[in-house]
Amino acid sequence: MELRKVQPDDLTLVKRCRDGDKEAFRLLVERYQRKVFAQALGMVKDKDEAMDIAQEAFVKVYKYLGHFKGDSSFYTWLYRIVANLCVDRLRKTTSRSPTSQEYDDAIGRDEMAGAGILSTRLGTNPQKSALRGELAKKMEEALAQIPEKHREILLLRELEGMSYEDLARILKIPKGTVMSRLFHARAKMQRLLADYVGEAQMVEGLGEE
Amino acid sequence: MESACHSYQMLLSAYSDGEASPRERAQVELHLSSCGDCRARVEDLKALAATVSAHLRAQVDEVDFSSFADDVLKRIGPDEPGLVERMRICWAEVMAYHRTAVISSVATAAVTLAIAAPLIWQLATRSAAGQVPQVVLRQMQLENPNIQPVVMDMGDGKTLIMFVDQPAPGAGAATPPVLKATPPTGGDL
Repeated sequence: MELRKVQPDDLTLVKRCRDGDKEAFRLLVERYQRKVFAQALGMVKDKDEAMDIAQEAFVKVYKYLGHFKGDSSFYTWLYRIVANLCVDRLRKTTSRSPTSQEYDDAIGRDEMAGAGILSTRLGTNPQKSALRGELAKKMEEALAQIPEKHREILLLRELEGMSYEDLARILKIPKGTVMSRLFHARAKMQRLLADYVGEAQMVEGLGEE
Repeated sequence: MESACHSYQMLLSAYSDGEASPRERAQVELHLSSCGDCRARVEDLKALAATVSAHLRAQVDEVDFSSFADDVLKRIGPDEPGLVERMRICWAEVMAYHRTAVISSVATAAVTLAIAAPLIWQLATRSAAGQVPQVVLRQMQLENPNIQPVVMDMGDGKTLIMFVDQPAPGAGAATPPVLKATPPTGGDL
């Protein structure tokens, strides 16, 4: 029978890091590297820049580990570091999309696209092969066009599978806002994918923007 | 879109995530049982979630993380030396640049210690033996020249003030001085 090695939890690793155990730090990095990179990529949209931010985030983690109080989860703390780095980086660049400034979560601004179109066209179990083609390009374009807040919450929900409660905690917003923000993010994505799923079919059901 | 459907839109998103409350879920399911469009919308939401998820995962999967941790550790650089190591380095630097000053300071300290140690030892042994060292702190001249108060530190935080009645000059050495002692005070002078 194969015995799986029990991985130490984050707080144990943090404590070991504070004691100068670099191997514990390596474990923390390996545990969160993909998440951190995905988060940075979702925010800055450039892979090289996202990689640079992800590495810088871990350098900061190492440097400021003494400041981590443990009253929030390690990932929440790490998430904030990455988010701050991304915001700093975005402020320095001029390529930021103007739409990212215009967002508000008001109910009723977005509506879902025509019923059943996406599920018919995409299915609920998309193959990676399909994602490398035209759909991948359309997805990338759509994600780049939606406001930063929408991209951020979609990424956390769809990539990390975070619960609404965790999203509320990590984004410091009420649970009701999590619900409305996700709804608006999805509605925008559906509308932006209209070209791909067939513009003619999408006309029905589109609301005012 | 029907107005009833419109009011369910946002709830459908939470419902498709399994995040609607039991009451909301019951409401949505009641509506879905009679609305084909909203059932299709729920399917759309699931399709979008699956597609976005697959797309994001594919993007991350394309990245090679095999050297990521090493790169981070390289950026961190070597560890700061520990306290003992820092002290050793500091001492080496002091000896390299201020050897003479260090040696003369150490020699001075040694001589001072050699002189002071026996005195301290003597005082300590006397205290231990119950012989409280008495130190005259002050002698004052009062109006009556025959009385001289002597303030003595008893060494245990108390002060003894004695009024020594000195014989007048010429009164002869036969008359012994009269000592009047006050009880020890709290130590304040």
